[in-house]
Amino acid sequence: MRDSRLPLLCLLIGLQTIALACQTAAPQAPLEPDADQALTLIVARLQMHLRDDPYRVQPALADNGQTVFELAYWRLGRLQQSRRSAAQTRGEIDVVLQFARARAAERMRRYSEAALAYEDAADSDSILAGPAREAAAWMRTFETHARELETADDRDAELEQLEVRIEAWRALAREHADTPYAPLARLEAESWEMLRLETLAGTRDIELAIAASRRLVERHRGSRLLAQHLIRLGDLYAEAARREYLRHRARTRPLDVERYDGLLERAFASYELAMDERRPAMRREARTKIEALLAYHDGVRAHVR
Amino acid sequence: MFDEEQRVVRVGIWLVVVAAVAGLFVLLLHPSAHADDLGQTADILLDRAPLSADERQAEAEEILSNERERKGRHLAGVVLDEGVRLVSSVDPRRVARATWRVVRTVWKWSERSDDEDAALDQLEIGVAHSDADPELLDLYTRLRRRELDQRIDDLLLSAESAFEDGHVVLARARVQRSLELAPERERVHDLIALLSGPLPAARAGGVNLWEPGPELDAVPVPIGPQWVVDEWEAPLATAMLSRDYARAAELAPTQPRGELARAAAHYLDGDRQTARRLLTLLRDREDPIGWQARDWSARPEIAAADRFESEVRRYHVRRALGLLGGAGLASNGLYYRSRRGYDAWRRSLAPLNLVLSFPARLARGWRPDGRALRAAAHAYLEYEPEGEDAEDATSWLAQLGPAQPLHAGRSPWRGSRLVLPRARTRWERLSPGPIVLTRSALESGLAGEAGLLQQVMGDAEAVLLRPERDAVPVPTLDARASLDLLAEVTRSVEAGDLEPLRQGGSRALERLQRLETGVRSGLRLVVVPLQASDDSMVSAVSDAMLDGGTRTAEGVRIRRGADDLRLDRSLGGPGFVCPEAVLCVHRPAAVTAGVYGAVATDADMLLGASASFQRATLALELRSSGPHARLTVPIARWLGFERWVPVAARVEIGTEGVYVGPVTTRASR
Repeated sequence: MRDSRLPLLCLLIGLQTIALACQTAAPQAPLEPDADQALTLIVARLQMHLRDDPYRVQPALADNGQTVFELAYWRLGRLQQSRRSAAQTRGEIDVVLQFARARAAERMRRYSEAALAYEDAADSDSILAGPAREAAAWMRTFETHARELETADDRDAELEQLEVRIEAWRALAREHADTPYAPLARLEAESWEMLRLETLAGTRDIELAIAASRRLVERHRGSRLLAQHLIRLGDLYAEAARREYLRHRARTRPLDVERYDGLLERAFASYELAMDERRPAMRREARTKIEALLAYHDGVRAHVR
Repeated sequence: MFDEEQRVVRVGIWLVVVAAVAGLFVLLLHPSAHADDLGQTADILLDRAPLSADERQAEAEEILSNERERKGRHLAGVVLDEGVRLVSSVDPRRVARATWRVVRTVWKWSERSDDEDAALDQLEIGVAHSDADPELLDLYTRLRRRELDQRIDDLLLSAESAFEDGHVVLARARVQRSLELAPERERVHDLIALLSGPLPAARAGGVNLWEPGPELDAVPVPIGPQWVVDEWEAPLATAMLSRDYARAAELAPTQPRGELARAAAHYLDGDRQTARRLLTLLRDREDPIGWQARDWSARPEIAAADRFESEVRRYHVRRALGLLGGAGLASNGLYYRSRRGYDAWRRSLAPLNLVLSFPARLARGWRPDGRALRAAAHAYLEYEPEGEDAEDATSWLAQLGPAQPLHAGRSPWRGSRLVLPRARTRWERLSPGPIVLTRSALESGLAGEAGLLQQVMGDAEAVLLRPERDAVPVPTLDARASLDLLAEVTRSVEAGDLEPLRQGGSRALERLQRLETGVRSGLRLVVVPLQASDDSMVSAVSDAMLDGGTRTAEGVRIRRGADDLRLDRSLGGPGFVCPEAVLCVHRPAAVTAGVYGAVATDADMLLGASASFQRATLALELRSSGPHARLTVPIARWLGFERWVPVAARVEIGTEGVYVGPVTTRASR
């Protein structure tokens, strides 16, 4: 009986030994807790995210809440400073750092800095010089389009300048639709359109602002900021309803309840459309706006019969 | 046996007598109108001076006293309710539930309520004008402290939940506010310590989330070995940046950093399978290389195959669960440790579900929501059209059918134009809406002279009065007739002679008032006959039986509970279902009656009829065990002390015995 168990025991011990040997035979490479700061990782991560469409897709975020481009820009800058402090001679590594930093600056919409960095990288015999020259030319074009507006005499002139700027960016996006720079141009056109909307909302009749807001939503239906635009549209409808009530409260005119209801209905509908957005932060903002508007409306109901 | 029954009857009679005496006392002590009251009312109307600090304090104290009284009544009601239930049947589960309910009510005694806010509103004005009265100040300080404590508790709770959800900025803002309000609170400092640590996903690697973002460039440059760039890195980075990914893959060394770069190069070159294989080897590491590998592994292009496989598995599991317990179990069945999961399993194992719904779902070929699987199959075919599961993905897509648009039936886009759909949020409009008057309301004469309305109604169940501004070629009430009608309806609703369906009296009066304002400003009421609902009884019964819940068709309410199916038909009630968001007014019958039937899974059947007058109910039932009669008399309500003692007297006679005794008002309904 005892003899019959012995081979089984030997087999088990043998298997255990083989298993242990296999475990020790494939040791994991040592951990690298500082690998985040390594050039290879910074460049690989940057290159992976440069393919993301900046107009349609939210920029990827690093663990500390910054966008990956901001973090890469900062880390590359530290590497450059580190090399400068050590008084190291200029080599290929400096061209790489400059070029990569320019790519990050481009996505952060710092066109002047990107142009300078590209131009510096272009002034070398690296294989990056050619792409750097081409990118520098693009950045100079973007820089020209993104310059500040001239001081306008009045609001009309300011609005006119805004329109011209929007059209310039839209034309750039249309004419170079097949290049990687078209999404950036659309992003810029959207930014100027948003500025136009806020200028109208602050200075003109709210109906004009609502029309501008609808135009923004319709023109930038594919944008990653669509939910934000819809919330703004809802805000404007809610604001128009509030004004309607305040005029009635100050007795400048009777309350047009049908118009008030219509404006509120559209405000709720806009917020609800924004709630279809996948980002939780936007959904929360839209939901909060609906709650706030309902609370306001309850107050109005108490006063209007 | 007979003596025992007599003793029960005597107890019941005693209860009735005691209740009657108590009610008489209440009636005698109840304040009534005297001639002096008119003088006092006139004085009150003439007195227009603002309340003094003392009066405000008295007002606040009265609010608080009323609140205590309300809580006391609630506690007494809970104790009585549970006491009566325990008297009728003592079982350990019921005792435990009753004890828990009473303990919970006592526990909630000290919770803040809206009444405290109202009291604070009164006191705040007095404190702002004078802080000399120490009693006023003491009360105010106490209430203010409680308000602040609650606000801080809420803030900290929401900060914790924001942090757990990964909304660090929101969590920080809430903790900051708590710190301003209560710097001495320990919990605030605990949260600050928590926010200063790594992120919940343990990915921050020591990033301080609490410090308000120092200027990164201002941090001194550490000169040390960690900033040294290895020789192979520059050519590799050059190849990556110049998009020469084949060369980058060649240049990358075999050490982990190099392997990660090689994976990126293969991915960017379109070779996703190699990239996935390399990332799989790295993603178990607990360092930035492993974290990055895990991140990239989750990209849709790389994870398409894994995601498709996992969605197929999930679909099969959800389908099996859904067949057993419907959509509820399919969604929540896997979370069996949560309350929702437990409830879904409990409902699924109910006899009626197992006997009726489960076989019906099997016969119907029930399927779960396939959106996630459809999306995963699409992604797989997009990124790996030649993959080994491509055929499988195509077959799943054929089986699931085309995707429903996100805004089915309410897309906000007409071409490139934005057309806002109707809001889903429920809100009460200011503009006047339509009202419905039922046949019973019109025939009662309580809605005034309704000749035109009755003529338009004809054989229909009701008429709809729709406010319109412009003249339309249908019967319309003129302004005078509209105002008279609305005045009569309002008066009758206020008096309780007419009742709104599906909504409270105050909401109904508000709507009537708005409609009257609308008519005064030029709107006219268009009269339209309203036919009874044409829902199919067969489909309502089958839907209720298979899917559960309550359905209504042809005036019959069908409700399927966990282990029974019940049908109710109210006699003399409105023969149609009131449309949503419309005010429907009907005449409640003095004596309401109904017939009902129920079948339970334990084969117990019941057929009954009931009639009620002034909330006293007589019910006669024919049960599997024999005939049964029940009379419930709401004595406490009739005598005016139901607020304090919510009981009714009940007499039940059946083949199982006789019961004479009290029931709580809630149980008697």
